[in-house]
Amino acid sequence: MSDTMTLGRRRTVRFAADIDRQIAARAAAENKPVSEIIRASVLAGLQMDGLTAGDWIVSLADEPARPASPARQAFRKKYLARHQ
Amino acid sequence: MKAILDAGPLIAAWDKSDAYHHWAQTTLKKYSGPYLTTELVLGEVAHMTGKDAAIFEGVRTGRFIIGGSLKTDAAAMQRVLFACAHRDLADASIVALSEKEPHLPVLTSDKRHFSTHRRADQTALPMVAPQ
Repeated sequence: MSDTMTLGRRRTVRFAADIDRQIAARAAAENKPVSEIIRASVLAGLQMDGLTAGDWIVSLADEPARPASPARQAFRKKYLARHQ
Repeated sequence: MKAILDAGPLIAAWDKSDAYHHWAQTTLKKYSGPYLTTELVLGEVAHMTGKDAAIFEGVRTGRFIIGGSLKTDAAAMQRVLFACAHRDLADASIVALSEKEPHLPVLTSDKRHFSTHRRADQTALPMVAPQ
């Protein structure tokens, strides 16, 4: 089957109950049809380069961040003291 | 595997000097997501790490799912805050989220505080934290 033949074909897809709930909640929150939410979500998934959310987070550890102000650095020291 | 995500693991995963950096990276690979979290938590992470762009990207691509808000979860969050002085708003938002998704594990590096948190039905959070 070519990609062209696949495009536009009507398909039946069953989602797990928790995914169903997420789709319905997003559709209600954004006031959009369910089909539009599904289409956008599939496209977003296809653009994720095959990385799970966890792998994606880990892959960003070496990416540059916004420079820290002295105030933020001081806050971080307090945060670490509280949490570690 | 879906999970509820507190600020600590995300901060630690993005900060190599954090004591829980290795634990966070290993845990996030195991609980692959997407992660249910709150804007309060992501605001804390943005302030601590400076990785604002990554947070926007995570929300846009559905890796982070915003599961609550001050408006929708106000009652639950106020109950959590009033129950104990050492809880902050982001902690309370995670407890409120766990009340809505009681079976999802809560990823946190703050075992000391989160082990004392209780949901409305007085159950403990199903916590995944460093030993």
